[in-house]
Amino acid sequence: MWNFCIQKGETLSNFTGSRSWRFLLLFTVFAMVVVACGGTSDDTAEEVVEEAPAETAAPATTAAAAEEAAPSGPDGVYKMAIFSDPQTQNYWNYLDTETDVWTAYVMSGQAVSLFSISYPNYQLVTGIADELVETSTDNGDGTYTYTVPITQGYEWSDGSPITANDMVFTYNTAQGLGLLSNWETSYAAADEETLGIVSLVAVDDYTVAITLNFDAGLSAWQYKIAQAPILPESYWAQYATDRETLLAADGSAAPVASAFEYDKVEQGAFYTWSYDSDTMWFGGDTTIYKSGTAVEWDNGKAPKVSASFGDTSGEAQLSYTAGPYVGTVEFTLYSDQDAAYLAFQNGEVDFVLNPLGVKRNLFDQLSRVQGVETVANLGNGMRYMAFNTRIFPGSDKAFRQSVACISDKEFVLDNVLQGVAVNMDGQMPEALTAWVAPVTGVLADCAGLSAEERFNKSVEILQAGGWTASDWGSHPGGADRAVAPTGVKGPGGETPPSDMLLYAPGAGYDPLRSTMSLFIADWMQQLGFDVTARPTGFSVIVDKVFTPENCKDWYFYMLGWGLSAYPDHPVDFFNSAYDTCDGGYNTPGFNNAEFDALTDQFKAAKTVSEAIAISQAMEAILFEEMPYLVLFNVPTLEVYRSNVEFPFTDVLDGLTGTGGGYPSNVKVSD
Amino acid sequence: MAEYIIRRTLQMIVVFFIFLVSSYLLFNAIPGNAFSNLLLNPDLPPDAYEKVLATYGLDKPIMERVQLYVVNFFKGDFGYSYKYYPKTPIELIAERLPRTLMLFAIVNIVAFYTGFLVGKVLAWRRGSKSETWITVTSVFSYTVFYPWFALMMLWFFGYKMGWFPIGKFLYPEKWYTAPWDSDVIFVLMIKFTAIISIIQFIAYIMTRGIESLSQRRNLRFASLLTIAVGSYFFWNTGDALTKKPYAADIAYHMILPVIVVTIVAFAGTALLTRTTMVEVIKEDYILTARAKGLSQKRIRDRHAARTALLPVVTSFIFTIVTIIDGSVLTETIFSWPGMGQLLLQSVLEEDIPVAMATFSFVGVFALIAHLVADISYSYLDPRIRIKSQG
Amino acid sequence: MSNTLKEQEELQKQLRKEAIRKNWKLFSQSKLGMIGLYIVAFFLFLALLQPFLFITGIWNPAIYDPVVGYDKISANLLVIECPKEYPSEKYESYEDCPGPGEVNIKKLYMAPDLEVGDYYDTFIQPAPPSRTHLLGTDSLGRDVFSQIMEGSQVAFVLGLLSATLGVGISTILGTIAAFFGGRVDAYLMRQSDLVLMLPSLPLLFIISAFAELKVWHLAIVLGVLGGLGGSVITIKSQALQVKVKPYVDSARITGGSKWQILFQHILPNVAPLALLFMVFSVTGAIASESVLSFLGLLNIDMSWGIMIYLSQTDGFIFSGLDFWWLILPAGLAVTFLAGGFYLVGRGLDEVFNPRLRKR
Repeated sequence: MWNFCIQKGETLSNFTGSRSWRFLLLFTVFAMVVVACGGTSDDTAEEVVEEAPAETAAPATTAAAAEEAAPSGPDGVYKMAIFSDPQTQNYWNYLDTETDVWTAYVMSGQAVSLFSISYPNYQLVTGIADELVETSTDNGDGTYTYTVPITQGYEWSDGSPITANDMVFTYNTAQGLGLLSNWETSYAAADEETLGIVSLVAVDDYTVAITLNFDAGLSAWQYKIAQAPILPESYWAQYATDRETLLAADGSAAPVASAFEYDKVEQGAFYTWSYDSDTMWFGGDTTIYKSGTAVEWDNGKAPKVSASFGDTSGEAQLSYTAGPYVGTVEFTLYSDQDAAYLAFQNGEVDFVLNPLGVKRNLFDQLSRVQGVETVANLGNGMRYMAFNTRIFPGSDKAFRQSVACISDKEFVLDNVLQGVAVNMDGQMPEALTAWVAPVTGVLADCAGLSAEERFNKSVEILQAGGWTASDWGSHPGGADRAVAPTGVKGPGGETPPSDMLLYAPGAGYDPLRSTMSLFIADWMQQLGFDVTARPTGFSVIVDKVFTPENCKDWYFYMLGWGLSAYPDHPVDFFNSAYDTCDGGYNTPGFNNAEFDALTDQFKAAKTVSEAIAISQAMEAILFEEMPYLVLFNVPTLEVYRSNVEFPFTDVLDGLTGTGGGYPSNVKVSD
Repeated sequence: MAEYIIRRTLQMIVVFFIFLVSSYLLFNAIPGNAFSNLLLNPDLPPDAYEKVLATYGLDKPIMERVQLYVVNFFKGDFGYSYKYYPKTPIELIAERLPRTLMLFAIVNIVAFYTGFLVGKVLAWRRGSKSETWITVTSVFSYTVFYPWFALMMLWFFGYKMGWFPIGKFLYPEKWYTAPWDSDVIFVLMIKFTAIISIIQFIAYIMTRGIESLSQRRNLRFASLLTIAVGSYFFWNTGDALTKKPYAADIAYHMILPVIVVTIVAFAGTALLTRTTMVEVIKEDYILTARAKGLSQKRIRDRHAARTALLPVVTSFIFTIVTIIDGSVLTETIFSWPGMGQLLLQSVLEEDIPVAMATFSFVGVFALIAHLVADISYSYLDPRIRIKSQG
Repeated sequence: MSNTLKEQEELQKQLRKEAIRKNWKLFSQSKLGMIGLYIVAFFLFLALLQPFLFITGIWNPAIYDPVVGYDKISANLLVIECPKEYPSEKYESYEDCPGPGEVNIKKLYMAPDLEVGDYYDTFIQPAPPSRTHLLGTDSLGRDVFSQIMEGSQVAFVLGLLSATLGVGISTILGTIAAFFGGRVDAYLMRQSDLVLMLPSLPLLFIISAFAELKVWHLAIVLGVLGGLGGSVITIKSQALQVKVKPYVDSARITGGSKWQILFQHILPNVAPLALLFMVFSVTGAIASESVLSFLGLLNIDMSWGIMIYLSQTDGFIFSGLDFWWLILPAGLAVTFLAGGFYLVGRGLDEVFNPRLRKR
């Protein structure tokens, strides 16, 4: 550009300018020398092209050699984009302190667990355990023991067997070295006050006995301790001297229980896994039923497995044979999301790992691009607005119900946000069909009403709840705003405070919640409450509502939750024992004895059907009491190149959220 | 002079101390901390968060932490990164610095040189129509909304035209079997760039005294040729030969960011050069030179431009200071994980030890640069020396 | 006596008028300055036009409000499925699918039981420019032109406020440093060093993280940071030059107090440079706001930076020119207004810097 300008300037000038041309040439040469650093920029660039096939040929030959040893040894590369550098390659470090999704995606299969979960139906299946042990033995002294047999014959990639001792080692290390956060969750130690593990011992090499100081139900046993990570003693024992040494140890050389091992780790640029030709971790047929999974695994190297879990009657939904089908898995770092999708569009990567999925408009554009496949799944999470039930007016049930009634979420979602998100009323994502409780209470009563009807209904609810007003206002009908009631007073004659704030993320962070907050605040205004939506930084909201000292300093806020595979979250969110004032997750300060009793039953439930029944009873209370106004669920939209074949694409929370792009099951063709 | 330097150095130490304490307090004033996310994970036991805080020493009162940090800082202990524990900030900086240095050394050289050339032409063509339009264009390329512009360029050249890679600094498949880390290559490239820059600079100084224009030009051309030939041999022998394809890969990925930043950055230098040169042209000795009948071009290059170089060079020194600061956006958009990204991430994630270390790094750099600029100024221009003492 | 005083005042007034007229003449001769002034005036017009349109009722706030406005634009479209291979019978390339009056079934992933061949009421947002929406609407159905106007107000408020504040601070500090010298000077210079040491962009990240930055908060922050930084040094050196002028000495000899000299002689002579700084720092303030908004770090409702940020997070930034009205207006507005102020500054430079004048 400037070059052009100078030329133009030359001709217009009084100077003849022949020398300045030479100067320009000199400069160009100089710039090229500097830029290309090779003195011969064009030549080197070409050499790159020439040398490229020679270099890629090298891994191809090793893969060919591997094929002789293992007939199924695959080649081909599966390329995925990531947006952030993994924190570590060390599994201990990954779970300690803070887990990060990017670290999780790039983490090789360094750990196994007794039980595990099969997707897409979220069915509990065995990991290295021989059977799904559901019942414990009562030791009579208040402790209960689960005795789990481990399948013989599994091996780590260094050839050492996977035994009960590995689990004992992992437990002892996590406890002994004081590993933090997620390790404390998986291997919670028991004392007088906390429920946890009293002892974890190996009865013999292939049986492990876990003694707890309570009779654990699904959420504490099957979905927590039985899924705790187990790491190889053979490798890690040398580092297990203190926390820092262990966490600093090189994880890229650690043995794995999978077909892939780390190959090249180029911090800040890319990471690769390569196929281990000696592995036993390949193959196996999985058949998925509506609520059951059948596994047949016989590859000649690993122990034979033939098992079914859950209800495997009825018609199979799908079945697939596990891979790996690729020789190399590559994770490339793009710090700019747009650049990553641009590279994807260009065919440079096959799949973009993105837990939030791609935005709707980009999704729409990409869906029309040749060679791109799209898939839309519901997210395993929810966005919600919380009332502070500790202080007036949030403490009043009628108030909460009337706000829930007048808030026409569907209008905002369908019209303003144009179906970017899906309405959600209860605590369970729609895709967990069995768990979803029927909508009752005020949300059911007000569903489908017009703006005018909603206003009138909300006023009725307030009146029935003992509220008074000097003038109850009216609604002119149609799309207009209501004439707000004036002089509204609570049942005890209390005047609601003025200038109440509804904290919600700003448009920059999340336009959906930001938009929703503007509308809900406006509806509350129409009911005669002085509420303003205040776009606020995410960390500011978190700091405000999760700090015990501040638990009475707010009225309303909007945030979201991502949920785990086992939907036990209502316990944490609403049991009065977990009140935020005492450092828990019950931010609304919801306190309901009936609900608390149900949560205790829920925690002790040992079968899924039992848990579901209790969970629905819990939700009925929540629909009546409305500590949260659940807002919506944002679908996870994903795109992949059509040369990639996933075993399945319809799965709650998407391909990234459940399987990190399923590197060991995808088929990649050229 | 010596007294002045000593006094300034003492002042600098005090300033740095204040800088250290105030930035530490600033980071702690941000709501939440690096581990706030733990509060959002209901699976964790209730005291997990407190335990983590205690492990990283964040439970202590703020004044005690500041004290501890400053004492440790001067002992050379910068703590551990919160996010990349147990890596230290120094390890992270050592990993990131070469990448930033390489990219922005080239960017600055190219942008500075281009800007100087354009500015020279502008000043000399004062009042002409072309001057107005070049200036207006330069101004808009200077004030262009940078991230937007960079993304557009990335889209156009990277995707639409397909001439350049879309971000990153290497093609992974070329590096699968590379026996080195990319940093090794970066360091080699930086060394190479530094050497040829020094040679070129020396050649420039040596040829300054030569009166004959054509002779000087020819000599400089010869020196460039020597460098070209020298670098050809450098990259085709021994150790460097095996590293050449990797270096070339990185160089190829550098082209687009260099072009984009140059377009935005050259205008600053160009406009500055123009202003100073316009002032210089009015000076008496230029008029004398004109009266002597020297050629226009010669006056421009030999007399006016050289005098005008001084403030431009000073501004160049200050530009170098802002490299890391200014690299934040470029590195993010072009997926170039260097110091700028480290700084941005550590600030956003409240990884205080890393943020403090990078802040101090930038701060020390800035302080020294200011000192050098002040000293060289008063050394070069006696008038300023008198003033600063008076 | 009083008569002469009045006369003197009159005379001074006239002289001032004369000076302004002369300076304006000089300024109007500067092509760059005039181009800049036209640009700034254009955006000022836009900024003032929007409230006018709302007050006079030409625009209905429910539709045209830049933040919560919403215009329901929908159409009954034929549902089709875009083919995998191009060119196909109907479409040349993937960019042509869906054609006019059609909608790709992939886009309607939330609509239940839909089949190819059905007609479906679809919202057309972002809507392309039309008679009712001169620059189209964004993906939330808000008028882009109105947003540009709102952004223009934000830019002016922010730019002028922060520049005035910053220049006020730096002028006062710079003259004080020059006039008193010694310890005061050393302290102020090291203070500038300290501010210059802090990396500006990350510093703004920090500030935006712990404060809920509104536009005027940001203006104050930018103003104070700018006012304490490098401009103090430059203004000080200018004031030093004035300090040694003979008329300052004569004022001192005739017994003018320190403050009198400072305010009557030195400040007025530093003012032109300060004005220049002010215009340039408007450019910087506008750019800073846009970058912060672009990175999603500001909690303000609307600005040019937010517009670009939203079109980026919505995935339009790489859509080429298909959705140009989401990408170009905001980006160009930032560039042009910042550039306009910069050009005005260059024009002023020629007025106040006699050495740059042509004649």
